[in-house]
Amino acid sequence: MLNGNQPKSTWKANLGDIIPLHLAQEIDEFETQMELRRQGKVDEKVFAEMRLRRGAYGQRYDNGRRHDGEKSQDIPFPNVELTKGPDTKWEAPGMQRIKIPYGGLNGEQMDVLADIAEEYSDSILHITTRQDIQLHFISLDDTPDMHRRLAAVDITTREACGNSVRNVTACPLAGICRDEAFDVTGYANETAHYFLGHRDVQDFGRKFKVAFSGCAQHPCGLTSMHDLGLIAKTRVVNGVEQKGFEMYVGGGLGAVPHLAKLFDEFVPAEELLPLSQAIARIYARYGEKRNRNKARIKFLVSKLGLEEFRRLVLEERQTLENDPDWTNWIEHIESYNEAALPEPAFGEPIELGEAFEQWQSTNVYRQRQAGFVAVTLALPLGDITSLQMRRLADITRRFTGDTARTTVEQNILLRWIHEADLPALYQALREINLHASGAQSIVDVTACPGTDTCKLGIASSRGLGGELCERLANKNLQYNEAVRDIRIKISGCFNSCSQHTVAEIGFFGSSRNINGFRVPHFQVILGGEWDNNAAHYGQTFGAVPSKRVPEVVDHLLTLYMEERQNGEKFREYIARRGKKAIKAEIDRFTSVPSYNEDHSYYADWADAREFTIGDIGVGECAGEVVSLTDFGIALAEGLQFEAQVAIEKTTDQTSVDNAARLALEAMVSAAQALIKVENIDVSNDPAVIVDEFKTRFYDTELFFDPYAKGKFAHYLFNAYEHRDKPKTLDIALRLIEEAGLFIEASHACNERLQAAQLIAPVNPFTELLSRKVTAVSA
Amino acid sequence: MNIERFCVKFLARPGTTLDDAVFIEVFHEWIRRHTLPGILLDVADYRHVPDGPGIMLITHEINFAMDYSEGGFGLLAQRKLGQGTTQQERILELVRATVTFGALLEADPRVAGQLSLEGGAFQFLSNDRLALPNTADGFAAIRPDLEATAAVIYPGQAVSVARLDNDPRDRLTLVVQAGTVDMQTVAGAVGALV
Ligand code: HEM
Ligand code: SF4
Repeated sequence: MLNGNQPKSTWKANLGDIIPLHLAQEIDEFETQMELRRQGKVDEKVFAEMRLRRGAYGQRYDNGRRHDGEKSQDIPFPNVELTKGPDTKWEAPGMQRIKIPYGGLNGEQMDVLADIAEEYSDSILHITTRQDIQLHFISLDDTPDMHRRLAAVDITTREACGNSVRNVTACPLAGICRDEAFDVTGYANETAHYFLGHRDVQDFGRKFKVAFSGCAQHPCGLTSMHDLGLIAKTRVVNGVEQKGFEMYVGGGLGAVPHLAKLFDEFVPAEELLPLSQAIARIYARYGEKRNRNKARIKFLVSKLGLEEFRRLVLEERQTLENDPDWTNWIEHIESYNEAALPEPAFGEPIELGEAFEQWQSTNVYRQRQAGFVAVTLALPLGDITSLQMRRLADITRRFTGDTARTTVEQNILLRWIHEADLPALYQALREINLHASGAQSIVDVTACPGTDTCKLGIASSRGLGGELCERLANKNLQYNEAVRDIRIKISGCFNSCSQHTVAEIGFFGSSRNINGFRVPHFQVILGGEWDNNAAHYGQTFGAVPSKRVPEVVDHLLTLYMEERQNGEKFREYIARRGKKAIKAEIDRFTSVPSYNEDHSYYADWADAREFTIGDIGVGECAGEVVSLTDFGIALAEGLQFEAQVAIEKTTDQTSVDNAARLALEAMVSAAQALIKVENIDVSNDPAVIVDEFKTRFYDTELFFDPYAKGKFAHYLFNAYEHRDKPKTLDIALRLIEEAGLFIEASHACNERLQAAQLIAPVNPFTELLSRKVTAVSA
Repeated sequence: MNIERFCVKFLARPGTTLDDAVFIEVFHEWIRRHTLPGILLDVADYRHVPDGPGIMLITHEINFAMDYSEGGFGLLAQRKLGQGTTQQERILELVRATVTFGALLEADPRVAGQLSLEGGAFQFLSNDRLALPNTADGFAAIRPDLEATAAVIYPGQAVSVARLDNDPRDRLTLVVQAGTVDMQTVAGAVGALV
């Protein structure tokens, strides 16, 4: 093999006998598609979806442009005309998502993951909020070999992205949890494998996420925020215990969060797959296909109503032909039981001092099975190096029956540790620097990829996350009983990938214009509930400058520690103080020093580039108009806030109607503010405003978000059209959320107008129109 | 021997006093000004990862990292693709790019006097387990190329090339050792653009 005279060995030839045939074929097919795309024989859009279904995502700057802080520069990729999707350069680095059903890993798989991270990525493995693993800066040309090496250890990347069934997640404690009804591991894995590549899941309008939980009260499974959520339950029929699931549908985060609805109180294990299949078929048949913003199953359930949706599903279930794969695995379900090593690996006590004690207090979970514990490795922002992963594979083999799990909090869990082995395990972890304490505590901050690598990122979620982690850990808050269980989650934009809406303290990135400079901001979301499978979503309290977020967090924690009553939880404290009072506390941190005083506020965390474009030479007239617009949008924000306050304490019909009216007014007011950019004399009549907004900003696509397109404008149109219809509390709440997003979109649109104008000091409106710019890359 | 994916790492001399955040600023500026040859893409911040790659400058051809992994803090360059028809040319090209990077960094006013890289020794890491595995055969296959390249990098000096005794699953690592040499001197020897 090392001799140049011998035929060159390839991974394909090398692993040919090891990779399961169907996996090998899929990868070969993908490689063929790549070749056809290179030859221009496959359309770029079609190829993009194929690529996504192999888990190969795009990554920031892959359109070949990057803002360097002063200007946007072209990146001179080789073969720049060759694309792997619309406006996506072939040669640009991408992201690979690797599906890990229920988060289960063994040592051999960890070894291979370490190898490929070293060889094809940057030696960092990132655990995601859905138990997947991601690698960044991947060359598409390397993906077939990478997929083969993964397939050789039984890992597929198939349908890790794209419009299909995504990774099936499950509580990482499944099988060892003290509170679970039963171990959901096998059910999750069988569901994942049943649907993998299944013909009924290939025609979805959007992704479909499934989660399993062992109990209803704890958050580990997060079933409330999934398209299909399953909670383990048992019941006794004629003296025989039966296993089954409480089934939920239509949950989801994203821009407007939806809590899942109860579909069935008890689905017996034998019915799990057929019923899920019927749901998938109904979703594929009736779900929205053209407008991806309305395509998640939550919209279908809302549109049809739960009753009608259920009727259709049950009818569909009757027509399904019996499939032995529905149930033939049930008799082997016990094979999923994990066991510990027969004896402790070391067992001798070792004197390790206070650090060990502290680590034990935060990272160790006592299993249901006496004498055994599970240990969480707190990975900073979900990252682990390839060398650590390889050493960890050894530790997993040495101390457990060769199994580990990734968690939705971006950590790794080692289970079935003999309690007597804890000191030796701690020592082994310390050797590879994986012994950080504070797992799942306030210092264990979760962040989505944000502006680091995500194409949609607005602000640096990871930069902020790293900063908060460090500051909070320096204060040892992970050992502070009062605040340690508060979760902090940060998303780089409104898409909620960090699951910030279910955290006690959440943030999502946005940007604001201050005196003509762009300033990175984060919206503050408070009062989400992580417990009870994420049963409550938090509410927005306004945006603060990114660089002031640590002050905001400090302030909120201090207030809570000083003022909490009778051990109330953070969420309860926020609710008791009320929106107005808490908002006033947060508003103390909204100002920034002028650019000349301190320009650090005008750059993001861990990024030296200016968020803005430096000294601006705008004409006076435009400046005036723009500031009127800013003013108007701020007014709209006030109205949206009033709407929230209206139903905070009382939810009688009058309050509900008031809230709904205010939410609509907020949207109309933001729309009016935008119109002022072009027509300073815009009328105050809502009908005229909506109409004018439509012609000036919607029909021209000026208001379009580069990703969400016209979605936010429809919030206004719908709200206005249905303004006289009766309102329920649910509707009012939705309108408030929508108003918040509409206002965000107005800010963004306003900034695009200004930014475009910065480049050419002419009327921004006509200039943009003539160029049809919907986004200025930054 | 013909591999495309491999790395070199030059360790920092003791006494580095720098806050790594400085690298973020420097690397963003390099991208903006096209200070280095190649297609410069982005800066990655892994300061939060213990024993991790620290701050990285990602280019289309090479990932540069101010790296803290096993073996100590230093400048790691991971070659992804590049020029050179022979293995020796490819190694030399990566060393040239790396010492260019190192010498420029040491000379930057924000860094000068606070970071000194040892130019007189470096590690070579195979980043292709298939073509160049971590075995005695692998070592034998690449050693002549490294010895020949080392003679160009350290003209007239006694150089040793040894295999690092590491975990067989880790990457094949060779340690090339001459005397104590500054980055600038190595840069001169390999014709780097500083
Ligand atoms: C390339 C970067 C990414 C893009 C373009 C992207 C896009 C999106 C979008 C548009 C949504 C809203 C979906 C909807 O409800 O309609 C979303 C939600 C979400 N994404 Fe991402 N995402 C990216 C990266 C990630 C990463 C790295 C993770 C971590 C695994 C992630 C996990 C999630 C989660 C958990 C949600 C919540 C939605 C739910 O479960 O209902 N995303 N993403
Ligand atoms: S929340 Fe936004 S920035 Fe973060 S990963 Fe999701 S889409 Fe990207």
